[in-house]
Amino acid sequence: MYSITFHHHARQTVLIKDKSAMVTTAAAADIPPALVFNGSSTGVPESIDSILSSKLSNIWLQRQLIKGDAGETLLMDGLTVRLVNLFSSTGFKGLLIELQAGTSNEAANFEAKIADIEAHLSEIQVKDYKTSSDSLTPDSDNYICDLAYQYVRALEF
Amino acid sequence: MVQQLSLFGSINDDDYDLLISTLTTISGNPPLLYNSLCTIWKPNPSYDVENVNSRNQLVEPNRIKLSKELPFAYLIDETMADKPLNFKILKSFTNDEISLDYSMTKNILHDEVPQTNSNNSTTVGKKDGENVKSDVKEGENKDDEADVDMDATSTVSNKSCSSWSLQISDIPAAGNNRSVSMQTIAETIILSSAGENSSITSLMNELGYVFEFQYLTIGVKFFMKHGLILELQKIWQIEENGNSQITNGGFLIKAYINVSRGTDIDRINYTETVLMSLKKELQGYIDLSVPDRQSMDSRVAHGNNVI
Amino acid sequence: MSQSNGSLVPEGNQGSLQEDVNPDFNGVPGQALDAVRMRLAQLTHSLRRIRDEMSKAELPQWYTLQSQLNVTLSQLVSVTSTLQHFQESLDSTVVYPLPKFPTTSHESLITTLLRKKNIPEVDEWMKYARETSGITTNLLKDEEIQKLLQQDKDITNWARNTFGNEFEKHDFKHEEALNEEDASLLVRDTKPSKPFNVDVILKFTHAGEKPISIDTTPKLTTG
Repeated sequence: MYSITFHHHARQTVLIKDKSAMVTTAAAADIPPALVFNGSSTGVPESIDSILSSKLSNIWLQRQLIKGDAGETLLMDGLTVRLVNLFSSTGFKGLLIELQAGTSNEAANFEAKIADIEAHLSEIQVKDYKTSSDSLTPDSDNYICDLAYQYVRALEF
Repeated sequence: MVQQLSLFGSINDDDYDLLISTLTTISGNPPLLYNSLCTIWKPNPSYDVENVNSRNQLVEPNRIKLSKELPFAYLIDETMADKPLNFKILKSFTNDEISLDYSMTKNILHDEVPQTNSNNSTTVGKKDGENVKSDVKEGENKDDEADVDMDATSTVSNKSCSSWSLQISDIPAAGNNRSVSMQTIAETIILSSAGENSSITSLMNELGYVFEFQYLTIGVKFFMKHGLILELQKIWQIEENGNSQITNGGFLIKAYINVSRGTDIDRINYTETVLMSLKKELQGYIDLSVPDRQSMDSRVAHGNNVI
Repeated sequence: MSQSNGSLVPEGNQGSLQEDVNPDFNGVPGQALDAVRMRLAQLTHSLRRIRDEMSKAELPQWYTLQSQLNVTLSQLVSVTSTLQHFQESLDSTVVYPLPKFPTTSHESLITTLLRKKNIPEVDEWMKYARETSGITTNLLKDEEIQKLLQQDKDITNWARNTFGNEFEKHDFKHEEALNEEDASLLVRDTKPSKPFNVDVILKFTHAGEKPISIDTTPKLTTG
């Protein structure tokens, strides 16, 4: 099971196990108002990670924590590029690059641009990388779950 | 982790009207109708899970409560359809009957969220529900009192699972002379899901939990000063072989305040005073008291080993 | 009539010349003056009371003040409506001293009584009121003043309606007009009995332990 918290997506945490994903939040502002009104929610949530590591720590044990600190976001050539260095407790884990097409127009050329980038990489003899453009649910579209899934796929090494 | 300070009481069906008008006067706020579906999950018994974690700390297996709101259209039948959706509707539920169908909650838990416009597996019962729904809408407009967040409750999302509140509560704090019950609650919010098996049941199974039982609460609540909330609840167990009212013949009264930080002693003390003054105000009419803490214990292997 | 006469003309000091004059008091609008005088007396009394209350070290309760203010305002309305009612006769009345009035000895009294201009103090008040209202009346045309007044009325109406609506929203007792059946329930003064043990219910919601009574008497109703 993987848990990915996106600071650039309202600090939502996606929990992924096998091919299922669950989006959770610890932000009081993001709780659906109906849940607070009917008393289902106290209005003070915490992250699923802290619940796993406290209340459910007899079932779940955290194996590894990978953190990306001080990343950069660039806008170039119709792409939003997010770069971040990943560290675990043992040291540097690698460079994570997230590429996102902006408008739908740009989305059409997205695949071509990725192919271009990959061509460049092979030109300069860089082979030690992994890409993922997988989707958890081909039929429906849950952006943040797909993104989390791609992170997991790209980081599985 | 939230601290929930609470007091409980009960009242007869017959005394409901008087209590409503009393509380309306005391709070200066109208009674607001609400409902919640609570599903309780326990650790999968087929896993042999220890009571200690890797750091050798005692972590007793605890139930998880998932709760959410349901559209009122699922809960009322034709006879109530023409009534305005306000506190009076609770008087129609004095017996066991509740039109919420087990198959409907099963849909919520296993399949897609029931769509108001979808007419899949369930039959005539659901169709009726739809008719009711439009009537309810009308009722809402007529009646300002019920015009709360009902709109939000009736929105049905298109995602694989809609939002749930996930809570794990500790056994209330010990101590003989406690004036209020104090319970620690850990909570997170599930917003949506995706993937192959993304029903809430599959997700919970992945976490190592299985469904145990569920109940539906319909009640009215009063928002009072100092964050104090007072609820009158009717509770039904929703089962495959029929629903049964747990609060038969009356209402459960719950008065509570949430304190967001358990370390905020000042706030907790203050909150305790607020609850105590409510208790004093209602004394002689409604007895609010501290329940037996063991009755609020949601650990799985409880009973003999209460700490 | 005789009263107003008496109050205007102090006794004594009657010279021989003045005795010859036999004044005709029929023209004095006694009824009007009396009505205005009485209402003004009430108003000044109330105003004085409010002033005294406000100058105390400890302010009175807000609702006491409010009710006093309400009384004062209605008295003010009463004064203005009385003045309006007798406007014609009062406007057409000209005041003059009788020859037998002891002008020399009571000069200050007669100048006060006959004064038509406001005393400087009152002029100051009026000036202050005008300035704080932010409207320079002497520069405005009648229509513009009318417009301002209309605006004022509109705002007042709006406030009144808004207040009324808000009040209705919180007037639950009225909205929940109880039918007779419900009302009969309210007159009982017995303490409500407890339908069940709270612990049993909580045991169910927390651990799923079903109350035993439910199983044995599933159809028990109290309606």
